[in-house]
Formats: sequence, C-alpha cells, structure tokens
Amino acid sequence: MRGRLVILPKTDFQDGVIEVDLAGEPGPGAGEGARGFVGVAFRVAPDQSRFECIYLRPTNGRADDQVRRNHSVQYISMPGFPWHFLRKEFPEKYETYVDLVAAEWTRVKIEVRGGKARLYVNGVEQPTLLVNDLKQGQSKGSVALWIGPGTLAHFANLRISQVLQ
Amino acid sequence: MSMRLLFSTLIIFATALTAVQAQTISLEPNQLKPVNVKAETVTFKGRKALRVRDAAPPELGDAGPACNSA
Repeated sequence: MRGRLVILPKTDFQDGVIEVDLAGEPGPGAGEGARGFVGVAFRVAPDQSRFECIYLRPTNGRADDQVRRNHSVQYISMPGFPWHFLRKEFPEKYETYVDLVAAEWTRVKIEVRGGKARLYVNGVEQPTLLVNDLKQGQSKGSVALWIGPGTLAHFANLRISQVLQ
Repeated sequence: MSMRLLFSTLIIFATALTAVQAQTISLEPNQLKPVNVKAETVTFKGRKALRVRDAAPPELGDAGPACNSA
C-alpha cells in the first residue's frame, strides 16, 4: 500500500504541527475526475504501508456544485480507510468545504496530538476539519508530501514543530 | 518543601514534558525520498518550490484508490 509521496527521511513525527504552502492542479493528460489532489501525510511507516493523510481537492473549492464543494477537504488513513470507504460508512465526517483555487498557493497547518488532528487553511483561527479518531491509532513515523492521481503540485515553506515526549 | 517551591518544580516538569522542537525542512530533491512521483526544484508564482508530479503506474489507486469522485 504505497501512495504518491515525497518522504522527508529525517522526520520522526508523532505529535506536533506541520505547516506548508501548497498548490495543486490536474496535470497534463490527467483524467476527467482529477481534482489536483494535494496534501500532507504523517506518521508514515518506513515501508509506507501505514500513514495518516489530510488532502485538498482544489478544483472542488469553487465548483458550481455544492456536493463537490463539500468534498474540498478529505481525511484518509492507510491501510483500511480510503476516501470512498469513509464517505460511504461515515458520510460528511471526514470531508468538508473550504474555499480553494487550483494552482494557487494555499497555506495549510495540521495539528496532531494523540488520536486527533486539526486542519487549518489559509491562516484562519478555527479549524476547517476535525478528526477525533485517527484510524491508525497512536503511531509514529515520517512526514510526507502527498499527491493523488494525475496531480501536478507545488510545495514550499515546510515547517514542522514536534512535541518532544 | 514550601508550596512555592513545589509549584515551581511542577511548572518546570510540565514545561519539559511539552517541549517543542521546531524546524524548517529543506525541500531539496536530493534530501527527499520520492515514491511514485517525480520531484524537482522550480520557481512557481514567485517562490522557490518543489514541483511534484504523478509518476505512478496506472494501476495504483489513491493509496490509495482513485480519489477522483466528486
């Protein structure tokens, strides 16, 4: 179970804050369903068999379709919890809306503590997404930049603040 | 031990237990490990950036499976 990742080998992350500027768009030749999927994975196992991930669907942010807008942000967890499973079994719980523009810089902050994660987008004070039950439980691993199928993404200004246990 | 000393000791312990290490991470491709992607340094919209593009075999989902619905 390996995704499309850029692993940051020197990270060993359990709890803390990950901040990064990112931009995502469908790449040349991407399929019709491509949304420019772009995000951050954390607690990535050395063989990438396990990780938590929060990602954006940038072209959904201003879609002329409220359902698509409601799918602008997604939490997934591997193995066992891909987006389609979570959407089917827990509708609306791991997805939400946030204003996004494809191929534009977006500031993302993810706070992780124990079994919880919080996503903040573009410096807002209140979290955009709450995850209160990270599916892989209490684990530790690398931080990684994450993209989905057909994505062309850019990342800059990555900062990690780690709580030392 | 006075209450003041005890209180100070507790604060020191609490601070130590929640110490935070902050670091800015280099996004130079030679310090990263790409998996199913291609990564290169570019300038994007005025900023030095890491460009990442999908290079996975078609059968790979969104590890997932295709995350393209809606």
